[in-house]
Amino acid sequence: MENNIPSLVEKARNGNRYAFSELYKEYYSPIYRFVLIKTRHKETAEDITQSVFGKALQSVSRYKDTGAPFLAWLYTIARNLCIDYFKKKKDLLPGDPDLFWQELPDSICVSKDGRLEDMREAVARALLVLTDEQREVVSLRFIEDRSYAEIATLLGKSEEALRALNHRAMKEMRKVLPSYNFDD
Amino acid sequence: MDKEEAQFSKLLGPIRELRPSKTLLARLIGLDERKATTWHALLWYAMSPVVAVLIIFLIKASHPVELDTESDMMAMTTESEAISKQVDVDLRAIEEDNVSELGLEEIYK
Repeated sequence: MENNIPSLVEKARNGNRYAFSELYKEYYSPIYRFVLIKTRHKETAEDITQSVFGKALQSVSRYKDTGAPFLAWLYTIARNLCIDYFKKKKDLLPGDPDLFWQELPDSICVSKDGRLEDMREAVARALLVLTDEQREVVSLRFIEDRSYAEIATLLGKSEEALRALNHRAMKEMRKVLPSYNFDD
Repeated sequence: MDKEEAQFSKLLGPIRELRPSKTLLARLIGLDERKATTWHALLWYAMSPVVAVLIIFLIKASHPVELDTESDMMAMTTESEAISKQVDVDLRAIEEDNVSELGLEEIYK
């Protein structure tokens, strides 16, 4: 699929809806996770993700290939829509971590005293202490398993800045995460 | 990826399993999935009389001898009456034979 992306983007630009649907299938989930980590609210994340692709569909004909991946363009739309969302909902606190952890997969656990310990609530609280910028980097680095070079092109930041952001993010998360042995 | 990063990657990596629950592709692309389902249902309902007629036609085709209701009923009644009359005749003959064998003609006269 990765190799077909430029061709699909070109077709989508020319009004081919099937090509756009293929791009949508490819990128819907990563954009959703990116927005979910930022908003920490499932339904809001789904609505914003829908809006991201709605806007992308409207403006794909005007999309200009700047050398950055198409996904970077989608991330930019997603970030802007998240900013708009939080501006409009100033009175609304970001997602409640007491509820958000329930949305996380059961497989988030660590080994403790020979048995598996559910870490979803701890992880949700750890994500809460991060700044929005740190959350973006953590999301792309640890959840999407991207390299710093890839994240740099996706977010338009230097690798050094991203490393520093991620280092600070890990330090903050360590403070609130129990000292379990993650290696097991 | 250093050791600390690897630990966080292992801890947070499972979040990659998360998928949105809504299927919004159809709405975006202009083919609403629910509409598609409705259309399939409507098509099926529209087709069902045609299917029913076809089934009846096939049953009829596999049973070329049909019952013509009224005339067949009349024939069956006539045949039934004839059998009934024949049974009466046979019973009378048996009765007469028995009377003869027992020498009871005088009594029956």
